[in-house]
Order: sequence, then structure tokens, then C-alpha cells
Amino acid sequence: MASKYIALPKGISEQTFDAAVKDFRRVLGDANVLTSAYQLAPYTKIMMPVPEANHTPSAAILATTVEQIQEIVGICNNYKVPIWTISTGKNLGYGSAAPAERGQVVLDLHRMNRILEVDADLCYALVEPGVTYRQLYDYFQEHQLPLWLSVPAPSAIAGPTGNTLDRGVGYTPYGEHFMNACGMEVVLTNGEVLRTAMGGLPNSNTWQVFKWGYGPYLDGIFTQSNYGIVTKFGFWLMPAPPMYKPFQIQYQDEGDIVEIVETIRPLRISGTIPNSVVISHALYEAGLKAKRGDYVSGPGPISDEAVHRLIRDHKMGLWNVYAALYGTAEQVAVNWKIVTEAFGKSGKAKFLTEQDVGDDPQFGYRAALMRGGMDMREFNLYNWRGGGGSLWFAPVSQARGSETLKQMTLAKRILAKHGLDYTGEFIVGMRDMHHILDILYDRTDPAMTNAAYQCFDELVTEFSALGYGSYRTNTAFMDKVADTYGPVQRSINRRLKKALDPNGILAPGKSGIR
Amino acid sequence: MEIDRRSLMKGVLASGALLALGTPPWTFAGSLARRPNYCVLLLGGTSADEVFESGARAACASMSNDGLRSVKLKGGLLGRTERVSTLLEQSRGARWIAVMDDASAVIFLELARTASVRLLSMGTHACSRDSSCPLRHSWATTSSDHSAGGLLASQFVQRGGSFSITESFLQDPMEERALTSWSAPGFSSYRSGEADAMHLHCSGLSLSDGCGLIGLTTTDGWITIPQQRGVHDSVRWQSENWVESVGYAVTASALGMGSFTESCSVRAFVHRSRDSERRQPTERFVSFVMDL
Repeated sequence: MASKYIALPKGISEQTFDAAVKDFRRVLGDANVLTSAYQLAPYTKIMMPVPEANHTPSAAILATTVEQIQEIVGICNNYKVPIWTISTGKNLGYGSAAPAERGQVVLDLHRMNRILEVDADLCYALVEPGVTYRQLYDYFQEHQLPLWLSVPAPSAIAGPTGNTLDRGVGYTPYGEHFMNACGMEVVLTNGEVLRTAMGGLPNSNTWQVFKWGYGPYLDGIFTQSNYGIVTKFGFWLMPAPPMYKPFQIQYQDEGDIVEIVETIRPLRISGTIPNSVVISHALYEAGLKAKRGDYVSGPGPISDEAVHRLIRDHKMGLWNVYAALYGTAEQVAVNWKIVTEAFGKSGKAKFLTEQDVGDDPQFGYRAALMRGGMDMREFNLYNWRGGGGSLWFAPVSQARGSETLKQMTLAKRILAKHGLDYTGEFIVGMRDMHHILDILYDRTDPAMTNAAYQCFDELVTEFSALGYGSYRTNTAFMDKVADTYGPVQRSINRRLKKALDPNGILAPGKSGIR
Repeated sequence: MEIDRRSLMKGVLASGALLALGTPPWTFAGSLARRPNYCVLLLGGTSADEVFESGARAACASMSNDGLRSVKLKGGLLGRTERVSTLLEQSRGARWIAVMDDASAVIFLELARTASVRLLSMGTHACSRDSSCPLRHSWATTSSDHSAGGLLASQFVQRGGSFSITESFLQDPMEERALTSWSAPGFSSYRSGEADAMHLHCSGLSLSDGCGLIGLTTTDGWITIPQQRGVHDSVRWQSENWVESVGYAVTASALGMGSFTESCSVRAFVHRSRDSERRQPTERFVSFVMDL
């Protein structure tokens, strides 16, 4: 018999689910409980090489208040119905808004979108989870606040809460987002509301200025996890600098990554270059200027010869370094001299500034992101091959030239084995780097879709065997990645889960935790 | 790959359905399948826009519908998200047909979800030389009432050339619907043994090869569907350009052209031509049909 629902939670009968939905409607109203296929279809879209059916929700519910969320967790506990919480749901390539497991109810908080406080003196904000970067950007403009955001690539449509809770990054000096998080409000599954750190004190005015509070630091356990529902989120903002100087440095050979990283590391650790530097391979940016079909015909990975033809045609670097200097004119001038001298030693580097490039889109979107601007042109990389398939593989590397070359070579070999291209970049912290690869494939081609799945699986296996762990992964591979961190970490995560969510109602499967 | 068999079929396959053009328009009670009051065609700035619109206009003409309004996003969507959000807000009550490149489609769907649209179908269309089947279409469709795959299959059957069309339906088929199957000359039809989870229509290749082409590794459990009487394709309009055909099929379906529906969760049409393949324009784009 056909169900009235497009999916049901695992182990839950339709009758039980009917009762849960009825209770959701009582709390939220009919209009905020979505169960029809038409309403849920936008929540089913994924870019991973697995069937949408694996990640189809049973319902989506839209809450706007803490009190509603407290009631919802009560209902979920009552019926043992699992929920998958999203803030804006823009975790593109990592699962988007679709739940980790078929039948989970999406708790969509995008309408819970009040900017609660912005302090321009102390440079912080306190927001609800549905607040987008665009809202904050517009708020700063409207109130003429000299504050900058740090945004990820989806910039305008994403928000600080979801991005930070998944430990995403941006490109300004505040680019390591969780490092700049300060204070959370969390609804626990027993209905209690926890305010972390200084937020525990009545009348505290230091919740968003001092991270640590007293006793164990709890904020971390609510990131990349499923122990609570974050309903308020504090974070620090960057004061707008008097001068901003973005620049690009091009190199033309893959082996140059060693020189690039060895040159950047001391500049990053000393703070001469303060922002999250990006070292981007040409294929990561090619979608802005060309189509893969212009350079490749037939199956298999793109050849090195074709890549070099591409970079000649479009005046790109094989590696493209993007960084920026921030401060007074005097500070920027001094640091620019240090940077150009350091990179200029070998004679391989080609420097480009805003004056050199005009309206070049490659430079333009990077320059926008490094000042926290709203610019989504990075997503042109989905047009390079086309077909809607994208899988982010994100191993962490030491900020050491030899290590980056080793990782790039290994990734390129595994991708080529499966007929896929190396489309990667390194985002440089001080001592580490996020090596971000987008495995682009065509979802209309079943053979390529299967190859992408096998490729990702092999990448995780091979990289972890060499000690390289992923800092983040998509919902199809969370268990496998969790396994790479060893049984003790999995066990402690499980015990925390049992203690904080005994019925397992919050996002079962997130980061491999059940 | 830890997925169950039904999920595999729903995800990897898709199908289209049928065309008995000229049958009554959407008549299924309680569904959104209806002739829209007015329809907006959003052209997202792809190189396929013009040809797709030509097919869309042909569909309007064949249905005597002059209510299609076009909106062109110059410069694409990635730099115009505010404009698109505003359009979505201002178009309540409309049925939208949209054409996007892959990058814009990802962002567009995010904007659409935030605007609480009701998504009827999303199709990914590709003609490329890096695949064993150059011309491929994959639809995620809310229900078989909104299928455009069958309309497109009939277009392609007439013009020749290899293709694959898969279509998965989010909503399970209604029980009361008759268990019928699409048919066309040269095609053999099969259904998976488990509760009509999937129908597969093959031409020019075996069941095994057909399964392989759409990503299934086993041919166990398939049952031949006898050719149906009284199920005929009638194609009123024909194009040599595949993009134009997609524009026609998507628009005709969105405007409520009656099509033959099958009771299954997934359908696939695969055809391998024995003739030498004509060179087709390489192109990729994504189509949407949604109600606001």
C-alpha cells in the first residue's frame, strides 16, 4: 500500500509517524510542517554519488522560537522520531539540506533569523541560526558599521551558525571560523537550554567576549556533532581596516607548490600575511573561463598538456596564490615589500594586483571573498565538467612544501585511476593547511557516478593510511571518516551521545555518531 | 556502496513516460497537476537558452497557450541572487520553468527552497563525448503526473540517435491507477519484480546492456511487460535539435499536456541506434518546473 509519506524514519510505523506529525502541527501550525512530495523535493537534492533516496526526508518542519524547539525535542523523544537540524542548509557538496539517513525529519531553522546584537566597539555579533551572511552584510551597510565578515564560498546565502558548527572556513584574517566563535545557546534533548561559558551567569555581559568561562570548555562538543540544537551563536567580527591590498601570485609548474608553501609558512606564522591564504590549482578556477569539453574529448582525466594549454589560453597560473594585506598604508607598504622580496627570490613568481588585472573574474571573486564580500562566482567550478556531481574531500596537511606535494601527487594518482581530474586548492592556516579537492563528476553518467564513489572511498582509505585525516566530510561517508580517527574517539563520542541524547533523536549518523 | 536495491533503482534510474499527446490534461484529483494560471520561463543565461525557448514556444503553440512570459537573467545567476529572490517573491501563483547551467542550478534550488516553492521536476540534461551514451537525461520528478521524460522519449524515438532518459518519482504511484506500460515500436519493456519499483524500456540493446547503461549491475528479477494495446505515441511537433526537444517536452508537461503515466517509482528509456550517430551539439543544462 502506498504511503502518504515519501519516506518514513527507520523503524517507525506510519501510524506512529501520523501521531508525531499531528503533534508537530499542534506546535508549529499546519503551514510549517511539510510532508508533501512537492514541498520536500527541494530538501532531497544532493550532489554525492549515491541515490537521493538514501537521503530523502520524511518531513520538514520549520521552527522560529526556542520554545517550539523545546517542544519538538519532546515530541521526538516521545515517538523516537529522528530529526536532522539545518540552519540555512547550504552545506553544498557535503549533503546540502538533505538528512544523513532516509526518513529523518528535517528541522529547518532558516526562519529563525534575528540578528540579536551587533557590538561595533567590541566587534562581535549574536545571531539566531537562520541569519545569513547577506543579512549581516546589509545590516552593517544600513547602520554604517565599520565591520567585516569572514564568509565561505556560498557567502550571501549561507550563515555563520551552520558554517561554523561544521567548522567551515573563510578567507579573511578571521577565516578559521570556530576560532572566532564565542558563546552558544543550545537546546538539549531533555528540553533544557544551555548557555555556554560566560552565558551561564545571570546578567552576564561577557558572553560574546570571553570564550572559556569556567570548567570544561563545552562549545567544541556542539560542532560537527549531534548533541544539541544551537539556537543562538556568538562570533567575533573584524574591524574594517583602513587599507586592503589583495594580490595574486602565479606559478606555472605543479612542483612549485613546494616553494610556495615554504615561502608562505613563515609569513603566515609571523602574521605578515594575516589571512587564510589560498593556493588554487588552475582546474579549480577553470570553470570561470572555459569548459572542460574545450580541452578534453573522451573518457579519462585531463592531460597535463591540456592543462598547460588551458593556462596559456586564459593567462592563468598552474598554481594561483591569493592573499591580502590589511592595515594602515604604512603597514601594508612594509608588508608588501617583505612579501614581494620573499616570493621574488627564485624568479618564478608573477605578481598581480588589482591594478594589473582589471575586471578579471578569477581575481575579482577572490578579492571579494578576502574582504568578506558577497560573491558566489567560485561555484563556476561546477560548470567545468557539468552534470551536477560534487564531492568535497578535505584532508589536513602540515604547512610544509614536501607534504603538500606528496598529498597532491597521491590525490592526482588516485583520481586519474578513476578517470577524474585533480581539482584542488590548499587553504593555509598558520601551521596546517586544508587541502580541498572537489571531485567533479557527471551524475547523468552512471559509470562516472560509480567511479566517483569508488574514488572517494579510496582517497579516504589511502590518505588515512598515511596519517592524513579529513577535517570534514559529506553525509555519505561520515562513518568511514569517523573510523579513520580510531575506536577510542568513536567510543567516547558514542558515550557522550548516550548521555546527552539517550533516545538518539538528534541527527543520528552525523560525524558517524549514533 | 551501502544502498538498498530500491534506493539504487530510484536514484540511478529514471524514466520518462508517455505521450499520448492529446489525452485530457491533468485530471488527477488532489494533485498539483493542473493547467497553471500563468507560466514564467526563466532563462538563466546559458548557451542553451535560445534554443530551449524555441522549443518552449512550440509547446505553447501546440497547446494554444499564449501565456508564457520569458525572463532572461543577463550575466547568469551567480551574481544576481538578490534579483532572483525578488522574482520568486513577486511571482506567487505562477508556474515557473527555469533553465540554468549546473552552477546556477545549485544556487537556484537553494533560493527556491528558501522561498518555499513546490518543486515539480528537476532535470539534468547533457550531451557530451566523455560518456558511453552521449545524450543523457536524468529527472527527479515529484510524481508521474509531472513526467516529461515520456514526451521527450517519443521525440527522440522519431528522430533516431542513441539516448538514455531516466526519471525517478519521489511520490509512490497511486494504487488505483491501472498497471499499464508505455510502448513504442522497437522497444521491449520490463518491470522489476518488486512491486513495480521500476519500468525499463529498451531499444537496440539487450536487457542486460540496458541495465548496465543506467548503472544497474544485475538483471535478476525482471519481468517482460507485454506490448500494450491502444498505447500509441503521437508526436505533433518534431525538432532535429535535442535542446529544442527538451524545451518542448518540459514546457508541454508544465503546461499540462496529458501524458501517459505508468505505475512505478522509476522509469528508464534507453535506445542505441544502429545507424551512425549524427553529431549533436554538446551542451549541458538543468531544467526546473515549480509552483510558487
